[in-house]
Amino acid sequence: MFKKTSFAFIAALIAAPAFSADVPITGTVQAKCSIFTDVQGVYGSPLPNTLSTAAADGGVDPIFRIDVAKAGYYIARVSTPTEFTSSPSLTDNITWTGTVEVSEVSDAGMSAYETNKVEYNNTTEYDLTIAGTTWFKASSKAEYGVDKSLPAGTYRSAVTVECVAK
Amino acid sequence: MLALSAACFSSSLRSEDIRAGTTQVITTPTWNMADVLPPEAGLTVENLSYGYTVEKQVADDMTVTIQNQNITGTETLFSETDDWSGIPGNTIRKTVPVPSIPGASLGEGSIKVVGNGTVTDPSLVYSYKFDLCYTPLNDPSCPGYDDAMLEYLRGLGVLDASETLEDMYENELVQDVLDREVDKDEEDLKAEQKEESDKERARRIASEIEALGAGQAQMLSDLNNMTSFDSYYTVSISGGTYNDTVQLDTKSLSDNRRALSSLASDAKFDDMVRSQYTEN
Repeated sequence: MFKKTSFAFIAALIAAPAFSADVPITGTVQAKCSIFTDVQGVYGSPLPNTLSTAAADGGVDPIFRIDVAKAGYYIARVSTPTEFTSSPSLTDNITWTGTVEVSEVSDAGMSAYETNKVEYNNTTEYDLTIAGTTWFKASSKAEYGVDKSLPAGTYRSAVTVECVAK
Repeated sequence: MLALSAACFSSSLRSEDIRAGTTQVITTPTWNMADVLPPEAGLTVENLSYGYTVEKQVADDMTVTIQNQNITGTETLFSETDDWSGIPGNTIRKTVPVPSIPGASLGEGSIKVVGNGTVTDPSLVYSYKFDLCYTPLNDPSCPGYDDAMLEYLRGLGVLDASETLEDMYENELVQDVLDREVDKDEEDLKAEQKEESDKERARRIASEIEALGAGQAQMLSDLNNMTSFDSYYTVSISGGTYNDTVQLDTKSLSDNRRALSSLASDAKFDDMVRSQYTEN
């Protein structure tokens, strides 16, 4: 019986052509959350040991916007700088401070993002519960050592913005 | 009458006839749409982009409504409300669709605040579109132009209601105008021909002058090329002595008797002439 079954099975394999095939399925997920830089930040140097983006210090605060096509699916995670991406050689510590705030909204309800934001370390998180555009303004300040002059040169840093799916 | 014609015949839309635009930026709490929209017939408002800043306490209730009344102020045709109750103030920037409201029907616009809080720095811009051929009589290329013209002429009483478009050209008044147009065209043609003839003559004269100038230029060029020319004062002319060939011998000269005789004859002639006037 076993042999017969085996034979029949083998015969079927030989006689029947292979009608099976893999049908591919592809899909593309378009980004429903987009980040754009509206204003690039500029450091001013009000003191020899300080770099600041505040207008009062001669700097420019960076402004970016986040467009959300579908409400309730994303969290915006914004981190202010904790190091320079490029700078002259430094021999002492930098003390970093930074803030992020909602500067403009496309829906009045987004104004609540500011009261509901979560802050930890140098990071701020916003729950993007409303579809539309939200403009954020960040600030950054770097103080070198204890009243120590920063070496002359060009200093660069970056605010990191992420759209994190919930 | 034009508006009536437009209403009757504005049926088909061509993309090349559609124009779009935006109004100037409105920064006042109230505004009149007639002052901000262009006067084109058939204009419709499609979008409103606005922004303002709200200053308020978080706990306060506040709504801000941007609205448009109709032309008589008896009805609200469009409104958009932002509810700022229980949330902090901020700056809002927003674009909202307007359901293709005819611009001519929009009256006063305003920003209304209800509750505790203030609105500062308002800015509003309407975007609109209109059909150049909404009134077909605007351009002969517009669809329905012929029918609109026929209706317009009927309205003026130039054509009877029973007359068709073909009849229009057989109308005495229209034919007279067309004849005048033909005469005018012929006069224009003659004027154009004369002008062309004058231009041709001017071109020919200019060509001759140019050729003459070229000849003079060639002559000057030739003169300049005479590098072997010797100055006249460097030429030496071979000289010599030319001796007299006539020799006169010195002798005494006698009086001229014939001359003395002539003088005597002259005196006698004078006496004879004067004797005619002497009274005896």
